[in-house]
Amino acid sequence: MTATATTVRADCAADPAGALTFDLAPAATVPGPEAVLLLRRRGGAGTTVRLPLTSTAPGRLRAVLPPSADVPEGRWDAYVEEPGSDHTLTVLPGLRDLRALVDRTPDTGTATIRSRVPYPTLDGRLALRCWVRAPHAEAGAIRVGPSGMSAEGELYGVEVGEGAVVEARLPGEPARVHRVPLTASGQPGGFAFTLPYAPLAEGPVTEERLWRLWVIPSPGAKAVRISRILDDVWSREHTFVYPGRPVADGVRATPCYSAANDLCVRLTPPAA
Amino acid sequence: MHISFLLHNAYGIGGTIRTTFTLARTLAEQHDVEIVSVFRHREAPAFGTPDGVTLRHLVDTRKKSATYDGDDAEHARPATVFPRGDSRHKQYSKLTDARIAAHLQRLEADVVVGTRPGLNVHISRQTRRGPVRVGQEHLTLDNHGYRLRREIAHRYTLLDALTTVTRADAEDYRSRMKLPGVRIEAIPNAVPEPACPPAGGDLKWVVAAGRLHRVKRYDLLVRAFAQVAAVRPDWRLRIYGGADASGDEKTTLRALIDQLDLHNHVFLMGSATPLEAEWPKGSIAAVTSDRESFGMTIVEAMRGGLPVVATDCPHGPVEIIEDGTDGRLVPKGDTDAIAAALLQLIEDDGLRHRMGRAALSASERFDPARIAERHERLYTELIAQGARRRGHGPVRTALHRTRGTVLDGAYALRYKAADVLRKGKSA
Repeated sequence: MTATATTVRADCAADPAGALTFDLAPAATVPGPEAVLLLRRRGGAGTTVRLPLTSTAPGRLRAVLPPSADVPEGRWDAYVEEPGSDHTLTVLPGLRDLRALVDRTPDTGTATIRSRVPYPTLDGRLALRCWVRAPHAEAGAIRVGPSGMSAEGELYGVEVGEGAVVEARLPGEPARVHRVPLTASGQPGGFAFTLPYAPLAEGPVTEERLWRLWVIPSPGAKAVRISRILDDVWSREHTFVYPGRPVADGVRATPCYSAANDLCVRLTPPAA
Repeated sequence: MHISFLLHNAYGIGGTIRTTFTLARTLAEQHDVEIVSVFRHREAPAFGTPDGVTLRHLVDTRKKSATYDGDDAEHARPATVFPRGDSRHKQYSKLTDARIAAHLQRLEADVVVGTRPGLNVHISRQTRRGPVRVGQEHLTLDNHGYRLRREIAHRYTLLDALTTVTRADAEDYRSRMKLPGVRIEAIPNAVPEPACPPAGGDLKWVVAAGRLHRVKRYDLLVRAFAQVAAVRPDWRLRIYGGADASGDEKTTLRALIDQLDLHNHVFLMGSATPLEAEWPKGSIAAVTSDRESFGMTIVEAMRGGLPVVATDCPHGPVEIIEDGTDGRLVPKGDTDAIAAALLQLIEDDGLRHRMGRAALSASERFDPARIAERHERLYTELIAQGARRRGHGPVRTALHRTRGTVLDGAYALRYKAADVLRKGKSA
């Protein structure tokens, strides 16, 4: 053990109302009464959120992130900072009791959907994945047909109007857009669409293409990105995996999620 | 009392390491406890040093360490004390033979505890007169190959006691091995109470956990879940666990999920640490293995308040679950029975909640305090019996060692002959 600790472990818990608590484990170096939990947005040029640490028992400190707190979308690294000292502690993930995040079903009238999932980074630190969507399109079940995919989902903060469509967009190629009709389904906010793969595979597919899917609730309305963020899975890229289908000449199309949990269709070129 | 554990590698990850740490930490509340790790390949133990326990190593395999032992010429020569039948034999050497011997010959402890067959053999053969010698079996006798069983049969006779993790395995040792004077006792593994509250029992998820290895038979579980999802599409299955080094089971399971069109219902979650926070995200746990030496995940799930549907495979499940009370036992390998038991608990909320509560209270018997007490009682009784009454005074030890040496020679010859035969065949 070094004389000065550089890390502190924190247990996290989510409550049904959407608050997150961070309980620091008792450590050799107990932060002083002025210490705060510092969240620093990755790649966010100095964007920070500071949460006061309050004592819940001798040697035990807790920070609370209330549901209404304004934490912009992104990945946030956690530190414990002592004002007036340049010594910050890196926070390590302890127990993450996130059962309250599983299968969240907010009211579809909710204007702003916030989702926050504490997670362990690959190098073993505690981070927080935050989404802020207003409005929001949540993806649900995905069916994979022989030549296309169908998906169900819910819209939050906006209603499906006449002429609603799902738009597939290819980042970097704004001219390439494919639209399919979006239909309202049974339950409030519910929607469904079917997207054939063939148009997405037009032109020679020489490298991987990742089509992103957006809902346009009515003509001229702001596009709503389709994602899946209402649970405890901070990155579903490798866990919510769907079968691929051949489209043409060795090209395969596969519904998938990006590391940021956005719904996509991936086209892979023929194996060289 | 002073208790000294001998562990293969306290710095790695695995069930034996975890359970030894739990036991050592609990015993250390009352006793002087050390863990001696044969190998050390990294700075700090992956599981963290257990509170109150002294940890040291015998052979340093950290390449950058000033005391790196890997280049020692003796380390390149095959071990002769550590038995060849133990699957770790390749990692052991003349150097480990000597280091372990030196450790055991000057050991100042009341009890020395081995944690795998090869180390139990070392303890049996090399411990100086004085300390009580206890071997632990974390797998099962029938899991060991013929060679190791033979080695155990003639080497374990100088142990004072052997502990198994199930009563079934203890019975196997008693009936199949002639180990006169060796007390054989079943003491299950300890599982601490989780740090988070028990499951509420209303989230519509079934949870399974364990490395993705064929013996875990996740294929059965996935097939059973096809039947479950057909009846109750609102329920889903999470399987936690990393890909196993011994096979690409993940790809196989992925293909099965696709083939059965279960991609909206069955999810391979990868590994999660600590796992105890994942159980309460579900309301039922499933363990469908072909064999479980003990059944650690069953107890972990029960301590999290989940009723477990488990296959009645050898050896552990039947000694953990009381079928129909705190979980369900179904015939090994029977997909329909797994599906039926899952659906029974899914369809009957009251039953699921009752069994979850029963699982929570029944699993208290695996609490580290209660399990450590059983080890402590065993050690205390053995110490009280004294070395003379334990039946192996110096004469018997010497006799046995001589016989052992002769047998060693015979075995060596026989294995050499067998090797030649095998090589001849494959050539």
